[in-house]
Amino acid sequence: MKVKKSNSFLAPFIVLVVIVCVLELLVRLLKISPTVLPTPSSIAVALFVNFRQDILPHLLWTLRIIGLGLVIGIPVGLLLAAIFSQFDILIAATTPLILILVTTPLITIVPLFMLWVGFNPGLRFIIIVIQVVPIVLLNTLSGFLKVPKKYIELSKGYGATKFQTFMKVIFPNALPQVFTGIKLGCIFSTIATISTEFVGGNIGLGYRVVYFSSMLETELVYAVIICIGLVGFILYQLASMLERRIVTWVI
Amino acid sequence: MYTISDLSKEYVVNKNKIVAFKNISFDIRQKEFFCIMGPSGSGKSSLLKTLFGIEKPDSGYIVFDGIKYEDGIPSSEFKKIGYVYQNDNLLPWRSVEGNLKLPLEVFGLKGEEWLSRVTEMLKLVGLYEYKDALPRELSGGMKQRVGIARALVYNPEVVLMDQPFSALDAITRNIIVNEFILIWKKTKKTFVMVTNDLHEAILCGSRVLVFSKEAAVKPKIIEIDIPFEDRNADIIFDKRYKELRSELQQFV
Repeated sequence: MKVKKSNSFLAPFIVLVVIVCVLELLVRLLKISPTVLPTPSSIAVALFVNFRQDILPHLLWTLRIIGLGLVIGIPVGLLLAAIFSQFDILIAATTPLILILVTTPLITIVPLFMLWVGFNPGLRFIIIVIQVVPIVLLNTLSGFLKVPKKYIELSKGYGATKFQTFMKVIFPNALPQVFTGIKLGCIFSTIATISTEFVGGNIGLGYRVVYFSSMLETELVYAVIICIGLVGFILYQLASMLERRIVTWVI
Repeated sequence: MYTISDLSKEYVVNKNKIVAFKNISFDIRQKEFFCIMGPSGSGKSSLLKTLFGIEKPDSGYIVFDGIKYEDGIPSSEFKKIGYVYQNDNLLPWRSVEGNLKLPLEVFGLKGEEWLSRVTEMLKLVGLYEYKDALPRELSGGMKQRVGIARALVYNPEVVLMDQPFSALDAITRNIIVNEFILIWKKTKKTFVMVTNDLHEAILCGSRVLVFSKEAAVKPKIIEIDIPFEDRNADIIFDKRYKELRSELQQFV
């Protein structure tokens, strides 16, 4: 019994097309300077023309870092949540620290971090991991701790061990929360990666934004920003798709 | 099957001591359909959970399957006891079949013979075609039937039920209660059912343990001496039924 969401692709697409057309008209009619806001068409042209040479290598680099951040950050977050859920003291002691880590804007920490770790761009993924782990940890932990009592009772009634209860009840029950953490992790990973590229270094999409800005190549600035947006969007959608396949029991 | 001796249990709720049951003694015979009846909050659910072993009595002892336990029934015995919850208590992320497999997994019961029992129990409750469905796709009555199948799948000797039909609408309830009596006759197991419904208690039970709404009054055992062939929808016209009904009513 699957509920199909009809036209969920068409509606946003139409809205997007309308917005782009309106913008195109406005920019032309109001004669806005291309340095301030170029026409959508000129952005598109700049994007296609320069993609292979000036954008793609940086896109791939950024993707690598984001990916690395997720591949390490998500399992670590899950593992820590599993451990934390067994010890109340750990939770009480570390939650304030974790919250501080998550809410402090990363851009403020990055320069400090660069001082410690150096400018080696290959080590930058550590910053991303530091952003992703707490997000995944907090959400997963919340899922592990909020188990309906009746499921625990069910498990107890079979004389299940703590491990059996964790694997068969606590973890599956937490999966919706786990995916919330993963989706947020994708978002945070993207933001964190771009932030670090903003601050320093000479590779990555974030760096490219800064570079094109300084060269007053505004069309390319917008083009790269659109790429960044697309990366975040696609990552999130991939996570959502995975969620829909696995978490089948929540509407 | 069970001998309950001088059992007591009390709770503390918001600094108030609540007595669930005090110094009660009775026995439950093998293969009988034993009903426990009483008004809400009279300690019957608590008694059932103590019979299950997930709650321990404060004093007194229980003899279960020939062995005396003073500290409540240990978890090693749990695979002999099936339990049907008031609100089905199915795991929403598992299919119907998956929910039936859960106790087998926890008890470590592997192999073809156990897997075929899953099929057998699903067919017994008439839900074999729904084995891949998720609980959210089922109606209340269907979920309860899955709960019953799950309680039977590991072939326990006793099946305990905590008001298994109270969450159902009257029509479904009627149908399932009658199905249930047939399942009892077919499986020949000891059934212990907690209910707050007079009619059900008389319809299903061979004996009924009635709790009074006054905590001080000791619960009483009443024998339902209506032959089982007559236990059907027409029972309400039976003279003995009416007598028993008023007897129970007064006590409660």
